[in-house]
Amino acid sequence: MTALLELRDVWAEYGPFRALFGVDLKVPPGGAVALLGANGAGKTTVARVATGLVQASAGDVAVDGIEMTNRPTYAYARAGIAHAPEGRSIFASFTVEENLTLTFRSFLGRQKVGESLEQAFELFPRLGERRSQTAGTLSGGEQRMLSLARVLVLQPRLLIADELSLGLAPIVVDEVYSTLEAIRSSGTALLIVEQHMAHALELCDDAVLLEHGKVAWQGSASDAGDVVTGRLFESAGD
Amino acid sequence: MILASSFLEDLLRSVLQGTPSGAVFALVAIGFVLTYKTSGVFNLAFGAQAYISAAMFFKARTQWNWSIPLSVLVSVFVLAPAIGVVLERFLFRHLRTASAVSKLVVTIGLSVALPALFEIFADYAPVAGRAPTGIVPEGGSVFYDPLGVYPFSRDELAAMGVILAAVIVLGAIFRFTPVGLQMRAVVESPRMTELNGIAADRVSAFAWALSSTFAGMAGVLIAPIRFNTLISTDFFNVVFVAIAAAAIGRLVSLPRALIGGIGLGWFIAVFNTFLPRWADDHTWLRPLRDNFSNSLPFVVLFAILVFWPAIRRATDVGDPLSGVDPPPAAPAATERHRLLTRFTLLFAVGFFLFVGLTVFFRADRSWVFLVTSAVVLSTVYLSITVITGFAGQISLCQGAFAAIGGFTVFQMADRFDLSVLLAALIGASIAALVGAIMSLPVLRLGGIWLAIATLAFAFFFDAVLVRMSWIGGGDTALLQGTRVPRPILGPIDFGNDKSFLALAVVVFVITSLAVIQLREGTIGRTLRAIRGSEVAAESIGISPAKARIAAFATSAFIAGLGGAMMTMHQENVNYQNNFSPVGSLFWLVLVVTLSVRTVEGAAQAGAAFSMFEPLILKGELFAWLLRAEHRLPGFFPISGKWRFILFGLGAMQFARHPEGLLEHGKRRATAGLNRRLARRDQTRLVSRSADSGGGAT
Amino acid sequence: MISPDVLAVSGIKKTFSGIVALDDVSLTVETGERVGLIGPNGAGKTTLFNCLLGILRPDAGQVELNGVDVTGHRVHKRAQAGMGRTFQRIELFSDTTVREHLLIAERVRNNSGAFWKDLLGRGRPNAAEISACDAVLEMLGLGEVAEVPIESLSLGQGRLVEVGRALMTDPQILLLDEPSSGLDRSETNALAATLGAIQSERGFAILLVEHDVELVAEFTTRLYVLDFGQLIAHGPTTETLASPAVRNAYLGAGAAVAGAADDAADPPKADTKRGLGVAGAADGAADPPRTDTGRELGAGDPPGAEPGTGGEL
Repeated sequence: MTALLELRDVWAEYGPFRALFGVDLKVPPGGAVALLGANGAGKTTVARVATGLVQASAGDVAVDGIEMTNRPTYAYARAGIAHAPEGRSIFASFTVEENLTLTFRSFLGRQKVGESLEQAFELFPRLGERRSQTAGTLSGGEQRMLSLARVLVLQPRLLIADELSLGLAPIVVDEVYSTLEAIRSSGTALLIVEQHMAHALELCDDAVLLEHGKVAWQGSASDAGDVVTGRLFESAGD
Repeated sequence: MILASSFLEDLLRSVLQGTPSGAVFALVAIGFVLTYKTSGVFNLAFGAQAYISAAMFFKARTQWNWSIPLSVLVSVFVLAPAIGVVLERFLFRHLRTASAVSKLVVTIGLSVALPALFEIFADYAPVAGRAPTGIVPEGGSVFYDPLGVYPFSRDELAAMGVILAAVIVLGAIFRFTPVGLQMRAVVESPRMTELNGIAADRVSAFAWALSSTFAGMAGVLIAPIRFNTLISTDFFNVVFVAIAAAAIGRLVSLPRALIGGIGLGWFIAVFNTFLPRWADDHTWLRPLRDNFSNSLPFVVLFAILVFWPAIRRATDVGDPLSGVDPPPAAPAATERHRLLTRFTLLFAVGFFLFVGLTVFFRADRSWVFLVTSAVVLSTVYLSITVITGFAGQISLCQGAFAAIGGFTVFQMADRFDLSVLLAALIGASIAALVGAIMSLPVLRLGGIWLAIATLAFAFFFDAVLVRMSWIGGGDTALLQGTRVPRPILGPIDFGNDKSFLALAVVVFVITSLAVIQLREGTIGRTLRAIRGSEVAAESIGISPAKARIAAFATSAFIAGLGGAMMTMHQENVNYQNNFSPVGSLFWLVLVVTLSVRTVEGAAQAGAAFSMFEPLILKGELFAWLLRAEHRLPGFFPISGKWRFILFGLGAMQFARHPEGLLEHGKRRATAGLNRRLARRDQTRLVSRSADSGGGAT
Repeated sequence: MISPDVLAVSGIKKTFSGIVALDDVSLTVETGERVGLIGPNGAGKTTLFNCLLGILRPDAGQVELNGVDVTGHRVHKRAQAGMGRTFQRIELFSDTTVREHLLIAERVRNNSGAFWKDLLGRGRPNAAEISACDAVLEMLGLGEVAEVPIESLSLGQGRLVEVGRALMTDPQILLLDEPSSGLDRSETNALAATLGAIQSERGFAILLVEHDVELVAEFTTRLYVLDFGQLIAHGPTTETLASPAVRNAYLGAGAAVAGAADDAADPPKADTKRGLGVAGAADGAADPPRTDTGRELGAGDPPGAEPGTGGEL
């Protein structure tokens, strides 16, 4: 079966700083992969390479078996990959509604915008209350909700989520994960980057552990706990 | 009764009379807003773009005798968008993440370079008195007078009609098509936009094509109703006037910019009608009578910036995905190799000794004059080093501060026969005071708005204050000039050019040392902290307001001192030549482009400003190298336009090397030399240890 | 009589265009105490934080720092009076080195009438100041990166630089805004350990705003919980976390905060214990049939493992 997303021996740099040293990664259609590792291990860079935000300096990226290396970001998006970057990835000068409209209109077409907005506000009622507020004036957590609402409603073919739970109250994190569960069962593949492994491992089938920009281990999510703990201790002991 | 009706009639007439020029302001203001909204650039080159289309249209009509529709098609709908797309592709696409300052500097560079380039390549030269023609036949000579109060020309009606249509079309684009939202999205974060499946490059190319077309249209429409001759500087000036209208739209609202523009036109016309009458009754208004209408837009602008809190809240929003960019390169080689430091020092001393001795013993009068100008100007430029380099604030009114120094010397010498050196210090202090006071209301303005506020102050100074008799000398100065004597200090008479040069060097060196002390001291550290992060600076007990006032006052003091020196040197204030607002715009760009944080940068900028034209363009350096004036190749003297083009290109480079071109070159060279010296040290060390090892066995 | 409260806030109200963001919020922090502040997203934590710091001016209520009413004081005045802070998204001075950061703070604290001193060349940092900075850098474990431009630091180091910069102002209280944000487990542990050690040495108070319940549970002794602009609970950390109101509003139904109590009692050892916490989480994750939805925190334990902590408040 052709993988939905495949990274083969990917190297990547930020200026003089190399972040990835030959990473291999596969996400099968409808699959769910948790990307684990300490800060600076290259998790975010993998997520960025998988949407063209950072170009691989060597190696290949393929979507549905089609070579996508060095294609611009919008081509990845059009191929059905939605990415919720870490942090407050929103348009701060737009209203809440404009933020969502931009995404929905481009992915789903004009007709579906209204319907999708309602879905988003159902998912995060707080956003509904503030639909015409400027996004930059929302609280940190609300901004985070907004950037998640963008991608959760889309039901893309692959959803890449970077540090979902960052800055969210535990109760909201629970809600987000149950939504992820739901869109997973409707066929969306997931690539989850998380510091807080417990949730992610529960949701995913497979796990990939990155260390210093290389894949240190990969296997089923259920085995990941022991392995990761052992390794984190090792690296913490350094 | 009669009085009232005549008052109403006059009011109506002045409003109608103000409408066409209001339409002009509105056109430019909408262009500003459009560009800012769709590309994030506060485009001071708008006037240049408008000029090019207007000139193209003019040339097509008058020289090639093309029909009106064809001329419009080519100049507005082909040339203008093409320029926009080229600018986007090769310049602004790479500037998306650049700071507001860099973008501003680039557009100032463009506004100078574009007209010069066009005039060279299109072989166009403005001819005085040849009035521009409009887009309707006999636009300037057929009038309609619907109300029987004021007749509108066809050109004016056409302009007003087109602008109304344009606002409706633009409004529709923003409201009903996705591209409006997309253009705004690209301004904020091209990467986030792409994550939404939108090709950011295509959107921003479209945005530039759109706003350039608008600029071109504005140019073609404005020219016949505003100007008698098609000259680029006129467009430049009208742009500054229209900034006020754009500010009313907070740079984001098209309808408000329209209202602002028209309103400004009315306001000015009403004032022009009634101020002279009031002035007849109230003598204190008289000095304002002749000058105030020119300055109205700037007064309005300044008032908006100071009293409208919404402007203060408008802050730049950063790209949430800027982390994707490679981190900025660490400042290369700020630590120098010991040998390198010694070598540079030796070289610098040698160089200055050589130049100094040559100038003192060999140079003729004109050369001493040029070198002195360079030194004096460098002193003024140190003020930019302080305010923009250290404090990170864009000030476009340094010319006004310098002029305060100059005028004080003139007034003190003229009225009280005071020693000019003492007067220079008083002038610098007054400039510092004015700088501090001016900074108070604008302190909280960020980035681009501070630049606009200081520009408004510069134009206000230019339009009103300079003409007051107790500042610029008023009518007396117009008749007799603003003559200033050279200083005499004990036995030394600085009337001698060479001794004045020595004085200028001493002043420059002392100022430089003071500036360096400030940079390395607490003030410099405080300002660096604020530049880095204002909130963090506050959190450790720094008062940004106090620090900025201090920076403004210091900077104004230095500018005032430099201005006073300049005045003494030229033995005249020469306000128009030395201190005009547009001049201080160039000053800023020049210093910032070369190197804004170092004393060398200021010195190099001073040298470049005063000596580039004679040395390079007129070919004197080349002639000196050839040792024969008559063997100078035929292409000398090079057209002065190339100076503008080079200046523009330099400003554009700035976006890529925000530390300044010279600083960039220096850092690279230092890094290279450091590496080599380090390698040499190593080999030496190795060979020495090998030697000693050999000795031991 | 000097009040033992280094920070006393009473009756703070703040509305934004009609919407009540804070409603009659009062809290105190005693000298040398570690207090936590949690709450759901949009509860008003940031607004409260900004009112304490002077970034926002409350509509009503007052803020006292060391018994002095500072409600009308600007941010920098409060900073000078002993209120230090760190930022959720780190705010560093670009184009400078690590040591330079601390030196700036040190110079600012020591200097008044800076202008003339600067001109006379007395504005440069002296040996005593440099060594004071270096001492703090050593304490933070940043000694080796003192000369490094801050652009090339990791996020964790950047946060420590912020702490160091705040320490140079000799704060009475340090306000930490989600210090674990963006850090991974081991970095958070290291930060908590370092902070704990310095705090016990210097004796300043800490007010911690966090979403990382584990960190809050271990690091703080007292806790305030904010929801919809009102305090819904406060008291000793463990008990407060276990209260039903907090669970419903913030932690989610099945949240377990057990185990954290032990750690909280013994801050200096937090590092190793927290490491074990991670192990527990991973073990828990390996066990498929899990019902609790708490994050890694004690995930292996059944909910409510410690009887007696729940519902006491």
